[in-house]
Amino acid sequence: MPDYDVVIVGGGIAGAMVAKAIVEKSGTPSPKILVLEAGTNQGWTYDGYLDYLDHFKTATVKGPNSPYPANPAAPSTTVFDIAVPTKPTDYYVQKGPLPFGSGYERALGGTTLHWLGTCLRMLPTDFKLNSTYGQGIDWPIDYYADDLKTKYERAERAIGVSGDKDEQYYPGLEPKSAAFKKYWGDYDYPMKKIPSSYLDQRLSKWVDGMTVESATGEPVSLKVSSTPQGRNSTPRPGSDFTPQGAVGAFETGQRCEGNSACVPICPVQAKYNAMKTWAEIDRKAPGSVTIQPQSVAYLVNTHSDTGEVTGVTYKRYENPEDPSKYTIETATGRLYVIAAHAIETAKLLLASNVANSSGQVGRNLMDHASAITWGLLPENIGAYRGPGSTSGIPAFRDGTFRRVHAAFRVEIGNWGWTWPAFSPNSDVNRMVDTYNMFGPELRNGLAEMLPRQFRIAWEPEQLPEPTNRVTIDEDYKDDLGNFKPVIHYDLSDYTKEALYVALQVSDKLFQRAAVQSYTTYSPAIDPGYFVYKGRPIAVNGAGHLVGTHRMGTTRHNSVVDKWQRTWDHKNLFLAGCGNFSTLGTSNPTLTLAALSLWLGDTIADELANGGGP
Amino acid sequence: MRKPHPAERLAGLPRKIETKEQLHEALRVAMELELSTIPTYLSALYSIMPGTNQPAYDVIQSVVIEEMLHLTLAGNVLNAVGGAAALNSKEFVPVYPTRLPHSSEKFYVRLLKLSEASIDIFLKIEHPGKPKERPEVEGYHDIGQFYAGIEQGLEYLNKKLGSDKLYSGKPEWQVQPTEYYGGAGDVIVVVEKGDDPKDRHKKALQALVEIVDQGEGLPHSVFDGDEIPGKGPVPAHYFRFDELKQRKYYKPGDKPGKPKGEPLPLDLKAVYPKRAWPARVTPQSPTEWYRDNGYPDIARKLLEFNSLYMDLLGTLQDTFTGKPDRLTYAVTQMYDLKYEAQALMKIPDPSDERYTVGPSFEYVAPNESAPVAAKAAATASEGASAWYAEGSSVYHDNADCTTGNNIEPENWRAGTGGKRRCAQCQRLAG
Repeated sequence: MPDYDVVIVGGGIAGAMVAKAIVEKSGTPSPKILVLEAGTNQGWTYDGYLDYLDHFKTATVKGPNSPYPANPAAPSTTVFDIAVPTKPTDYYVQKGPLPFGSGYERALGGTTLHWLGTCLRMLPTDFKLNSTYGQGIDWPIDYYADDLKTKYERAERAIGVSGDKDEQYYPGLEPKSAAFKKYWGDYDYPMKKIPSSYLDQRLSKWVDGMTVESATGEPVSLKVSSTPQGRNSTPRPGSDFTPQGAVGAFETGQRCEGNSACVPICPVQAKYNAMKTWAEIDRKAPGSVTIQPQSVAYLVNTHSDTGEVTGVTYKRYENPEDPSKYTIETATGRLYVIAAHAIETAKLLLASNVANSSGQVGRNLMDHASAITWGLLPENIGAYRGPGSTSGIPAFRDGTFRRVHAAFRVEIGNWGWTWPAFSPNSDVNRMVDTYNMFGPELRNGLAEMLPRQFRIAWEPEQLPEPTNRVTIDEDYKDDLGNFKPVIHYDLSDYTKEALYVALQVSDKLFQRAAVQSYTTYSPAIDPGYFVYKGRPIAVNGAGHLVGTHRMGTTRHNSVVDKWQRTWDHKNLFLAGCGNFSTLGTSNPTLTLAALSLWLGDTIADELANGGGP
Repeated sequence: MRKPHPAERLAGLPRKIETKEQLHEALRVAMELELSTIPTYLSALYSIMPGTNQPAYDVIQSVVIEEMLHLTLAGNVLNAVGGAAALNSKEFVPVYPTRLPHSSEKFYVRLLKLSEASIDIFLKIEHPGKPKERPEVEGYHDIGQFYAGIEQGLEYLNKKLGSDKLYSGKPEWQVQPTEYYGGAGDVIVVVEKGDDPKDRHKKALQALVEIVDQGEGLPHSVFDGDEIPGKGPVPAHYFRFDELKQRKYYKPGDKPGKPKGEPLPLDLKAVYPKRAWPARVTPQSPTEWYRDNGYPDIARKLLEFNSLYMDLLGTLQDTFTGKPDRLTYAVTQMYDLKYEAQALMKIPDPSDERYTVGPSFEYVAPNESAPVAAKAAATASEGASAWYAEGSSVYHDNADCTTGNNIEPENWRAGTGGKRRCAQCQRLAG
């Protein structure tokens, strides 16, 4: 008899949503679920979370991982290590030609510990890229036929999304249109939108109605659109929704306080993180889920005859500082879910040589290859206040131009030049070191410039390409003796052309809003630098890693079917962004959550029907 | 000069409520009562040095948040019976040290740093009543007795007038439950569109019961009947302060006075030594005292703080006179107030090196800050133009004012609109 009904690898949002749906659909008695988390569970207590906060405050360089102590037993990449070739100490082994620019977090809560919280739905055409525009592949699911609308609504409630449906201006789905009505129905988000920043409001004055011609000759009309976000605001009137506060301090963080530190850490947990869902399950069905931290899965065992998974073997370490001390244990269940992140899941499958009869495991790695442009506005627009981004420009999320180049989303940033130039610290350094400024002159200089800083990101999708891939290599292991990810990565002209178009739109937008550009790209500073059609461009990772164990219509073109079950092993399911067939232009977490809740339903049904060995 | 003693300010309430006007007045006093406790709690809360005494900080903050709920509940009942709040009028803003309005005046509510003395005052404020006490809105000994007096009045008037005549308030004036968060309990909406007037009476009584339960606890219990997810039952305010006093948390099953839970560490040295103003009536307000004794900079800083405090009271006044959505903005102002209060806690008292200045929570007349503002504007900025937001009580004239810069474009108006100058603009102008 297996020890558990379900073994889940990974304590992030994918595993949490699967577990939530299993527990909610199964009722009592609740199935027994084991969660193997590679990292620590420090944030599970409120004191531990406050220690994260202290760690962030004292970090000299504040990147996305800086609140979370480095863990040699379950390492991850920091954005400061992105380069080709890699140093031996780096976690990613980058084979290029371009560096892959996105990382993730290995700790209970996963990358939702440092995500921004953007919760955009995918558009119906995003699931049908091949049949609509002759590019990439289609998903085996359809927004309408598979009722993704209801699934998204459930995910938006599970995460706790603040937004205003009537401010979503997606191409082809404009408010008041019949298509809009079909896409949204009468639904609106559980909480009112997070107020748009002052910059958003000013920008919308300058930009709304500006029209550019697309590559296929259609007019594209720009409009600033407020962004739905996984952070707490006021519940909609009449709603029975209760915003989820901090884990271990539920009264804290029931509203966003505008602390302007969402990435890398919300000080009050007004921003969603997956620990909230684990805590919610614990409240509603105590004892149903056992979370076992510091347990790094490295081998999925299968039965030689049936091919069914018989156990997951993991290394359990006592002290993250000392990876040499660990025990080897095996967890058994009736059903298994690997929800370890797009790169870690691919690595685990490759290391175990399972689920890969299609040869697609680790391939089709995609991200939003983001170019940033920045400059100074002529007036104070109150930079550095509120959440990192509260609006975007969705005009290029869809259109016939997708036959020619990638769709892209435009993200308006509220935190000045933090992303491209490490402002405001770098500005202080420059004024002091280069210009010898001090005293009132320095203060006035900063006060004059910082509130006028403007930056905007242009984030095109990538197509699934088999050569963009994660592999493993015996020559590259981490301190616990597990494989490091070896990454081959490049951008195709489909994406580069989109960046080229985007930068032309950026030029027009800067002109219209009278932004004095400070944008510079250089091969010396930017690892993602290249020249396309004579124009220098530098790309950054957006942290949206998808595609490494994609779903598809046949066992030959994909790793999982539309139910997210591996074609090769009937009791093995995969969860997470690795299941994406294509990327689209939305930040992938909301779609991941919707798919994972759906998967939890499937598993609950299977358990009820006596599924598994 | 100092204002007269609270008891002398108003004609005393009758011992029993027999008219709607008397009920309105008693509910206004209820709001004043809830509001008057907040500065004393905030004085202790913000005297805690950042990064220390987290358990005490959490205890006091949780009580403050629930006092805001009580203010809101009393406001909803007042509005439900057709009354209007008077939170920022001179008569209703307490002068510290103060007595609880219309109480039996056994003790002074003072603005102290976190100390044994301030914890003792908190215990007195929240002290549970004796069983079978006579309801009393004038000269009450404890808050439960006061609210029992209002309940009696509601019952009397409900019978006399009928619930449709008594609860004649506008539904759109009610603050909604979605506006409250961060603490236990819920906002109760007394009057709703299309409701049965008979339910209004039930809900009004429920609202008053929630106030008393959260303060004093259920009869014979440490706990108040609310639960916080993941944490369990919540001790009433009196017992939360008793946890501070005894350095120990209550756990379910504990008897009043005998907490047996985890220890609650308290370091009274990690507290800013905020100056304690005398317990007897002082001849002058702290602001006047600093101004007249050669410390105009300190006086100016206190005036800035108090202007913010008045802005907040103005927003709350709007909230309870027909603009319930303004409560969201009041929260923003409470953050501003917190930062300014914490700054004042750190400023050494130039007249006595043992102390720091600390916030004084004083009434400022709308025209009182105007001369300061005009002077500052004249010296600080060259011909700064002014603007204001439709519906706001202040105008802005500093280009760096975040409040002024965040006015929704459709609400933006040029000029001063005959309003008070925004405290932040005043501060930015130096």
